[in-house]
Amino acid sequence: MKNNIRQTALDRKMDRIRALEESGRLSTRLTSRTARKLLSNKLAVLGAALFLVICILCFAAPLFTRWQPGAISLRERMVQPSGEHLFGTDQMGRDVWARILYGGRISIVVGLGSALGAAVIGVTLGMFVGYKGGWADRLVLKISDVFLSFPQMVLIIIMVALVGQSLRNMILIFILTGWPSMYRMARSKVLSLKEAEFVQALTAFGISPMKIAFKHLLPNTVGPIVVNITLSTAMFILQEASLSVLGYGVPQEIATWGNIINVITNAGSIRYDWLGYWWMWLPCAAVLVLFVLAINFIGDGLRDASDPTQIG
Amino acid sequence: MENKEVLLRVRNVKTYFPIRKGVIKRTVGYVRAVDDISLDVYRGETLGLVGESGCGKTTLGKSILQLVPVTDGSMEYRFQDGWKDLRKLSRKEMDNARQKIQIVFQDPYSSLNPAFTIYGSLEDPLIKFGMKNRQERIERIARLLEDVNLPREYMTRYPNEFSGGQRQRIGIARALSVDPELIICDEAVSALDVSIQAQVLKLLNKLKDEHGLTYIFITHDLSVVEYLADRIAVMYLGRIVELTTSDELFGNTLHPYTQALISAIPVADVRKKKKRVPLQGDVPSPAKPPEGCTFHPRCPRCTERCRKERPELREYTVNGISHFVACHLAVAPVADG
Amino acid sequence: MSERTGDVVLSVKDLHVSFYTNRRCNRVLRGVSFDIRRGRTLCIVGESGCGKSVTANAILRLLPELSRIEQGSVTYWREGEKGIRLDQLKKNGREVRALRGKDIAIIFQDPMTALNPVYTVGKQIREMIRQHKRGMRRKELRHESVQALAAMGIPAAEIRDGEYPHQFSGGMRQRAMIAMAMSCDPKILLADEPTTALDVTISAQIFELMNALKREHGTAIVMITHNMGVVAEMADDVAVMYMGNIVEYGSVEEVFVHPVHPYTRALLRSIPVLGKGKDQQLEPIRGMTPDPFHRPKGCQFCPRCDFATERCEKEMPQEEWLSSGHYARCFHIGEGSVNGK
Repeated sequence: MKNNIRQTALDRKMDRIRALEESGRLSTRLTSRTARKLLSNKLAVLGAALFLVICILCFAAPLFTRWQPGAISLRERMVQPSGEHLFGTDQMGRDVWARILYGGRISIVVGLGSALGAAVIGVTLGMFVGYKGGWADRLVLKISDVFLSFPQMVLIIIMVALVGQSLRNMILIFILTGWPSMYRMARSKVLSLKEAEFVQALTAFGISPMKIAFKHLLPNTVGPIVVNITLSTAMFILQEASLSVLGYGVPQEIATWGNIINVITNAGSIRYDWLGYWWMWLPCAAVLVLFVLAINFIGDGLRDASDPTQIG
Repeated sequence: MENKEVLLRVRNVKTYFPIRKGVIKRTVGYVRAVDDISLDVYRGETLGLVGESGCGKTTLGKSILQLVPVTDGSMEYRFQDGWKDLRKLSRKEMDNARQKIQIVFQDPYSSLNPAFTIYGSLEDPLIKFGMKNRQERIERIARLLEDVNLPREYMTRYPNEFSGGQRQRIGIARALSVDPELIICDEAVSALDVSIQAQVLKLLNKLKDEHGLTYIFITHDLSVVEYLADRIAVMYLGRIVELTTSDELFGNTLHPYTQALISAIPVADVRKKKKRVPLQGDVPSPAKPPEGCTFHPRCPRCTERCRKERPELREYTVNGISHFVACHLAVAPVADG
Repeated sequence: MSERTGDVVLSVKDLHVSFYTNRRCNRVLRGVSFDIRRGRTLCIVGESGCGKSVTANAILRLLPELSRIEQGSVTYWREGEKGIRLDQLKKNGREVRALRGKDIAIIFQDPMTALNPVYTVGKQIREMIRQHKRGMRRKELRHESVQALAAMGIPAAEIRDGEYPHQFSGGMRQRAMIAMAMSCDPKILLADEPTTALDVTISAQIFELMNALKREHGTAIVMITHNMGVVAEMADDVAVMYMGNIVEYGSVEEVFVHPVHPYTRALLRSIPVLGKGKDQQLEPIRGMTPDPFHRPKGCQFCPRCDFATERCEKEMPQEEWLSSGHYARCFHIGEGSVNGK
């Protein structure tokens, strides 16, 4: 006797699974659930593909363009896109396509490097101080509070003004403003694991807190850390771009995505006709948006896949 | 219990947890989790520690292992080179002492690190206590797994592949890995299914004989402790109210709390419907225990004296068996017997 | 559909429930049948994963989203009316909701998560009453909720009514839960491990309370537990479950004194019984409960059973009636029982 009231799509799916199960054709797959969920997430796969394509284009830039990003050619200023110059040239005659590719290197390094740096500092502090507890934990927590309570952009602009503009300073500043959120995440994870009985068992063997925190607890926090790194990479790339557009970012002479888009605010003639000179900034902005979206898709996919409360 | 060698001598141990309030975390009071406990643990025995939640039995276990800061008292352990107070050991000495005393936990799901294989979880203690050779460690862990009736291949698997009972065996294997003398079993079978409980209980008894172990078995389940323990200590609100051999405790129950506890346990035998000694009310908060005898607000036989004066844990000897009880009213039945 | 017999208030016939998670189908209930009678306590006993809680949730249609009733019927018999087929009602529809609480109430293992921490206990009880008895005035409602708490032996019910769940101790919370469940005078009380989270002296109080309800209101109680001791103390009838089937069913005397299913017998021999001392022989059941996705083909207990034969490996035994109220699902009923219990 079948329940004949409703035959929804879910019901039909259930029927299918049941038929397979009864014929003994289903078995628990050996691949991890996380990997399976990630692969079945179309956006995440798309994101990963985009991410790879853009990274390859940027880091193997000489294979895809014969121009140098800094090569000024005053005879070829503001040339329209053509076979010679894929996305035309800018007001100093530099090839825009080459600048996007070479600039991508810097932008990605800034984003990823800052995110990794922030993660190393934040997670190290969170793991160790969070596990030990006591006054050190309270102190670091208060310091991170101070950092988090400033609007991050304002904080960065102040710091740029203090230490000056350079690529290295940019990364350092991002690390300095980025670690507190990583620290918070690592700490909360450690606090929830600290009471687990396996940690008490290790303590009962007299294993040192350092070893417990870094050898035994760290592997349990890798999932959220990776998610956080991807999402903050995207955030730092955007921040770099915003700062460069505002003129506070990486020095103008270095090509980055932000500095390329910066042309709209800068040069005299195109300022009044920026739509007419679209090739100078639009392709770069599109690549930037695509890249950030791709990273966010990967990050979201990772987060959902590692979340055991989601069905699938 | 005469002619038995004392292994651990606990004297007047108090473990208080401060209650902090406000911005500056001022201490406004104390939770008296363990409040003035003295007992001896003999080599080779199983001492049952029974009580309801919040009575401090788990805290006492962790206090012995110095897993929680102990407020006062002494815990002397008989090492090869004589008696030493566990509380007065330096950090390094204590770490080495941990080889002698181990613990098995309650929750089989949080007692193993989900990110590590069984080998990975069991390896570190062995390294710490001097087994530097990897091949030697593999061999040792394989033997430990076989000791707890698990195949040696399991060492390369992750905890999520195991059932609760199997995890609990692995937890026992881990405690055994450093050849301890005393194992504290903290509710070691409470989270297991009934059909699995018996397997683990039998295993614990087998290991005790094979390795000459001493157990402190902490549980809320009197039926389990009756099966396993030689002596039983009943705890209420951080204190021991009754302590004697298993047979004596069930045959000649002196403390009204123990009587109520025994009568409250549902017995899996329909032919044995028994009379209940119903207890009124709840266990009071250990942050503000009642005056006098801590049990008096729930005691069916409470007197004026019980409300005012706290009864000491006194030793009586009944038929040559020592029977400790902390109750003003306990004198009469003993004198009769 | 069968007719109502005697004082049966709810009958479950051949109930099959499957869970669909992780792209697998787990057949948690595989043909469960029993009757719930007025004024009697039925204890469903079994180990974790045997489907005992699923049974209770299926009756009230509280199953999770990725699951469904595949087969069978759940019929609720209201006094003087035709049977209501609970399994055919719309999940979470108006009809089911009207029955929940008013006719059939359920209490859970953990009273803390079952009560909403931001409302007072009294308000939550009144909410429940208002849902089912419309048109009551505020004063009346408040009187009712205080009465409900007082009836459960909660001291100073007037004050307690205005307190929040965190101000209640575990035992008091469970009393409040029962007060809430009983506030609309349900015919059936489903209790899913109601005392597992409580201390023995407190659970003894809860048991007294439930027995009083049964005596005074004629409530039919279904108690789900894993503790054989609780069964012996509380039950009139027992259903022993193993891996989605009731393997033995009967009155508590029959099942405890003359158990016939090998699982029941093994279970009774594997638990320490208070009062038998250190010398009692525990006989653990070998092996472990199988993974629900790698179930044995025939009798689910077969791999752990001492009497298993080839037939057991191939097919699941049907319900074999030994007397009017006692059945077991086993091909080897009676074998080895002489030296058994």
